[in-house]
Amino acid sequence: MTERELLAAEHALRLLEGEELLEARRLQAGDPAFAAEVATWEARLGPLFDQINPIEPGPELWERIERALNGDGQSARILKMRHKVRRWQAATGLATAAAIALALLAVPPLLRPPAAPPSPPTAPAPAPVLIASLGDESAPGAVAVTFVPAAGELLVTSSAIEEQADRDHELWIIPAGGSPISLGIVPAGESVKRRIAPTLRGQFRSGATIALSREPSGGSPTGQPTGPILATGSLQSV
Amino acid sequence: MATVSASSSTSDIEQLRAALEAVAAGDRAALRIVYQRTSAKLFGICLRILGDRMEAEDALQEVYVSLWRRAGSYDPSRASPITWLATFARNRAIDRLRSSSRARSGVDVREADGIADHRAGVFDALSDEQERQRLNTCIDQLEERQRGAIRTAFFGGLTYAQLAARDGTPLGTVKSWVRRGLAQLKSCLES
Repeated sequence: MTERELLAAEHALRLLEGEELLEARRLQAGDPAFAAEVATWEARLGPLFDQINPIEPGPELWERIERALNGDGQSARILKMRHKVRRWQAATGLATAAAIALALLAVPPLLRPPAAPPSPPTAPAPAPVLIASLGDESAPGAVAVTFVPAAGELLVTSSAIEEQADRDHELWIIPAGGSPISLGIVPAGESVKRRIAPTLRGQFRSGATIALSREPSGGSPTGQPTGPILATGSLQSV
Repeated sequence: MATVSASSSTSDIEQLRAALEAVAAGDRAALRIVYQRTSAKLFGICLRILGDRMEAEDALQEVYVSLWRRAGSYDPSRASPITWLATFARNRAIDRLRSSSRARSGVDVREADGIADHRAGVFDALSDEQERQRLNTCIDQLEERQRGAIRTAFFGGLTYAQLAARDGTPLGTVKSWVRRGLAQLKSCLES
């Protein structure tokens, strides 16, 4: 086998990473002979799938698929977000600015020093405000999340999520290495302020992931996300 | 819908091919037929790779949504429609595994075993008996470590680096096992 044939076989198995993967993808897109070689290997290995047992997915999955397809157009934008989340995470500048602006506009009483009694000059610095912004280029800051530790309050502004019949959007915090914890339903197009239980406040740390999922009306029945994750972002201190 | 046998008879394959063509032409009812016939098999594949039902269901949803949007890319001259779909599902599940922030370093390939659901009317075996026997014979002729590495990569969706880490074997050694195994497999299958 030539090097190129081996590369095609390795790519069919999805063994490659880094430079080799990029090279295989470039060839697959631009070299029909290479693409055909990959397809030949996929067909050669196909009988191995016979060793994997069929298992029924959940009965509601077809409905979810139909809903995703029926939402073509409006909610396609939200679906698309999830594929772009990583790229978005690399470039949060605009969305971050939007979240800060929202936080300053919407919760001035929380950010201004209290009028009385005045803070003593020796008071320890308060824990930093944390923000996360969930969105993509087409809808940066579709959901802006601001956590104000001093007040234990979470401000959630959803400017660009589409309302859907029979479905709610639920917000989650995902601690590093932990399971998602619900932060409640996010009404489309509104700003809501929520008090975070003191026991949960410790999870709000820089780097923690915030995610938005689509759930049955009233929120996830299981306490864990059951629908597609539409967007994620990570908390950053301001 | 007519009941069909659990093995992939020629007529099952032909029906699936016709349904995929109808999907490409925008026929939503045909997509449902494809889903009914293939979702259990493809879910088994996604679950094997991802090791988590919720992740596997999200991957499966992506498979059918993508299928609806780009079904025209199936080339009937190239592979059987169910093998093509199975490969598509495997690749989507692997993409998901590798892009997930909760990515694991490879799922135990035994994890999804033992919870099979062999219902009538869905695809179970994909290939014809002759093809299957031929591949099995050729894989059996490989050295144990070559066979092990290729099978683990196929069923678990592992990269070279993950294979090496899993067995504590140097990367170059794993690569040369796999490459020799693949070359030997090719010459055996073509003999």
